[in-house]
Amino acid sequence: MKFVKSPIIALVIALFFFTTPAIADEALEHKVKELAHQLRCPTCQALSVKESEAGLATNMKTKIREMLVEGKSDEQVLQFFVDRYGEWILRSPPKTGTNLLLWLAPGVLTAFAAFSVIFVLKSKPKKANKTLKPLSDAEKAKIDQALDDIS
Amino acid sequence: MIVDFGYYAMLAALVLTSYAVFAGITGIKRNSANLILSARNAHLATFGMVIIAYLALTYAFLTNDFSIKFVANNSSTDLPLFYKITAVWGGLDGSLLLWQMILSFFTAIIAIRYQKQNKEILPHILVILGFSSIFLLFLLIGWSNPFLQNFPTVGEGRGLNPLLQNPGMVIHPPTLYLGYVGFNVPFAFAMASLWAGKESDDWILATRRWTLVSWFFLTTGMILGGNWAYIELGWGGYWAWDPVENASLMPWLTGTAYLHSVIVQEKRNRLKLWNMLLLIATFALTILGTFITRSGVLNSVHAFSKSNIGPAFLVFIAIILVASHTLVIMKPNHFRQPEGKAGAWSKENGFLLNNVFFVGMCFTVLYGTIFPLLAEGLFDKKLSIQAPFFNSIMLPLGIFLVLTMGITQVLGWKNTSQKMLKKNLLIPSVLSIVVILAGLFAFHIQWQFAFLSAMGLFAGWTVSSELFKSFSRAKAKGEQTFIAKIWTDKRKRGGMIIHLGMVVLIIGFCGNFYGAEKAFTLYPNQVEQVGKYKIKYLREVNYQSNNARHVGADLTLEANGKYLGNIRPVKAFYPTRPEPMTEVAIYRTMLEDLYISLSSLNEDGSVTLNVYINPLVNLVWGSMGFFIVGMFYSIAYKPAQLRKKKGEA
Amino acid sequence: MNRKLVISLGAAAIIGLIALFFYGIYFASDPKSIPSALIGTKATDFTTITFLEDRQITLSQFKGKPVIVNFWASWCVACRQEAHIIEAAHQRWTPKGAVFIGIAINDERAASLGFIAKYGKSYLLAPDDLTGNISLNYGVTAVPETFFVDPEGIIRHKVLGAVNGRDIDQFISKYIQ
Repeated sequence: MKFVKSPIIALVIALFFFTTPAIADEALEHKVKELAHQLRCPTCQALSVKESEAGLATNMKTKIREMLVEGKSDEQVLQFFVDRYGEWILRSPPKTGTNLLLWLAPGVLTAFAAFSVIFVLKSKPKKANKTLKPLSDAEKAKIDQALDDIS
Repeated sequence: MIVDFGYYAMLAALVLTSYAVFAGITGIKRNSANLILSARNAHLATFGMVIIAYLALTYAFLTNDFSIKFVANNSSTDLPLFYKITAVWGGLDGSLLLWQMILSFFTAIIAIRYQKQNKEILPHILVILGFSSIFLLFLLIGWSNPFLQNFPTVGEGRGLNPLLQNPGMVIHPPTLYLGYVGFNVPFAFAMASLWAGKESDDWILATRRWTLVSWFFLTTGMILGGNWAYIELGWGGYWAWDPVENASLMPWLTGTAYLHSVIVQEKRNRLKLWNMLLLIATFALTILGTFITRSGVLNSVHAFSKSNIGPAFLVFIAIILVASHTLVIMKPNHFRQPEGKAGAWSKENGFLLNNVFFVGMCFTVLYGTIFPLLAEGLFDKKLSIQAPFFNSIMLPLGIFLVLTMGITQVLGWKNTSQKMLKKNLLIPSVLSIVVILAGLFAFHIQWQFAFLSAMGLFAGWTVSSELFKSFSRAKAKGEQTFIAKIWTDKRKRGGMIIHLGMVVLIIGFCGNFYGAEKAFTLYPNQVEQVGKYKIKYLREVNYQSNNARHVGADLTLEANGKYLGNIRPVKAFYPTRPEPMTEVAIYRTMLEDLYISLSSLNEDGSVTLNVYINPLVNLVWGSMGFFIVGMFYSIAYKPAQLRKKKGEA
Repeated sequence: MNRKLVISLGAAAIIGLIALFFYGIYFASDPKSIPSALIGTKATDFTTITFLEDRQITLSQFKGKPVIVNFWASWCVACRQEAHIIEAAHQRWTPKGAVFIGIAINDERAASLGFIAKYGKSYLLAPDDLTGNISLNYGVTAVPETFFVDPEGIIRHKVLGAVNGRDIDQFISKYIQ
């Protein structure tokens, strides 16, 4: 048994050894990246501003850095871009108003489904369930037909 | 000339399939063996015609026939031979033809293989598969004809998109198509069984291998796609929650759910309606995926070939959904289940719960992908829904799913005793709780990371101990030869090995939580430290390779005072494309990749580099090995019911 | 009962999904176009120095006149298409009191000058500042992009991609006969 488990344990231990970021980034640069990651690049729309190298994205990163140095809060920085580009610029919509429909539905529905499954599973089977339903006319006809075929 | 050949072959294929469907339906109605046989032969002939069309297109690529628009847009004289062959699926039109060829191939296999088994429903199956063929051929002839002539004729093609000139991209689309089309088969069997009014569940056994193999291709197709993105796109990752990636993930999620719940039907005769719905959903989602990719309705990196086939696809999806739903409604008797309940801690219930999470995740992906459309329609605002949203919903759901996966391994059918539960779950539970607590409070890692890695460990433990038990049972049974010990208990082992692959994949995902990245500029002979690596910029390099001129940086790598090698991130200039492509350089080790992409070569002689350290990413690719081995075990197994039948005959 | 519920839910989902995609194909806007949040708001003031005259210009100094602010770059393909259109509109309307400003973004100065010479552009052409503040303030997503500012200094309209001569004429003729 050991031969199976020891590599897994070793892997998990290895995981934790590497957890501290290998590069001690400056706090500011880290913050810039974090904010840039939340913004969508307007030119190459599949990427975030952080990942993009388009001129505009570079300018946006510079702007974020500038604003952070000026002492603006994260919210103020993001709001600056929302004011100009609309909510479109945020890669995940703010959790307000009609967007709650987006944020809540998957979790609520899955949780509801999971709980109802668990609830049904835990409940004792009712006797009433065991009664069989009478045959429908169609089924009767089918049986008659089958009997005819045999005879 | 050869081109007309291809076009008329497609036309003939359309006529033949239409005839096959018509003859099939009439034959079924009149119970005429001749018509049914004729329909079957027409399907085989269709396959022949499609092969001719496909070969004609390949020939056009090989001979640089730029009088064909599709060839001119996707090839050029200087394209290496290998890519000329694969450029056939480098664009929409050709890839639809490839799709059609796989579909015809599968149809032909079924027409030949199932003449004795499943004889009663074979004509129905062929009619249903024929409908898909008609649709695709109709598209190929009317909307996206790969043989369309180019006016005026050009002397040189525009060249294959350099992004597609990569071995990963060569096998990724066919693999994915094999998976997509593969799910058409169990769907056709299920619908045929309903239509023919067969009460038995024979189709489940008959399609078991089809389902497994399709699942395998879908899974590896997605991983290969991720690998392609990782190497070619140069942003350091492999999964971006792009609508197209989501489109391939959705059928995978419902397909995987089906793969589990169908075992409940096979063994315990339950969940019949549910399985049918999952199968319909999976098949519809494979078509929906193509619709999303190609219609341009949603914003995506891959929507490179916007076309007007959107409405046609929409109609097809509507037909599939409405027709299959109607069949399900009309045949309620097929879904009656035996009475009585399984105990709370039973495998049935474990599968049921995993299905809830799979479908919940699929719903999340679908909902998140189409919500921008919904928001525009209902609230008149434009939204972006990208990675941050999907990560924040999918990760918690995924954590629950992995937990369910870990627990279900040790559950038995019908019920499991408390003693067994305790025996099998105590150690991994304690271990994973320790990991979570240590991760959160000692190492201060993100909670998603702590939970996901703990659940990965939990599932890894239960899966590998079940696998181990299977091996020790074989030993106890006194199996003598090595082969006999290895090649037994195939169903169980196949499942366990594939699950182990999933665990490996999940641990690979965990690497995303603690990677590092850095961007910097270096002058010649300047050194920068990234993690344990010392990167030194030697000089600019400039060379010609294949059909592109490469300009880049020669870098020396060193770690802990040891020389590791030289690597060269470059930009490739293709004569047929205005913008250069970034080609990354990756230094791979078992535990992490050092991933360097060239941002720019500056006029003052310096280079700007983007450097990423991507831990555990090789586990993601490595998981494919588990899937392959597990797949062989699983398909080698023959269900008991089938074996018995053979014995009787 | 349960079965009926499942089936009707399924049917509702199917109809909803198909309706949504139908809407997506025929009615929804292009997913790549980004609506500006700035329509109807006050245009941010900016100051820059023109390439040709070396003259300092400020948006607010043109108050009372309709202003066309065009963002462009020498490396942009669509900018070549619209170069003549804007120049022609400038020849037509500037004598009557309209103002045309072209801001070059993410561009090398020499390349910008080359582009101006090649296409014979003669309206107020100037570079963005070093960190691209002007274009960021206007929420520019890609070049070319053109903003129509009314005499009150309010942004009335935005065009993404090459601009159309008729749109310019229509806008300016609202304020100038």
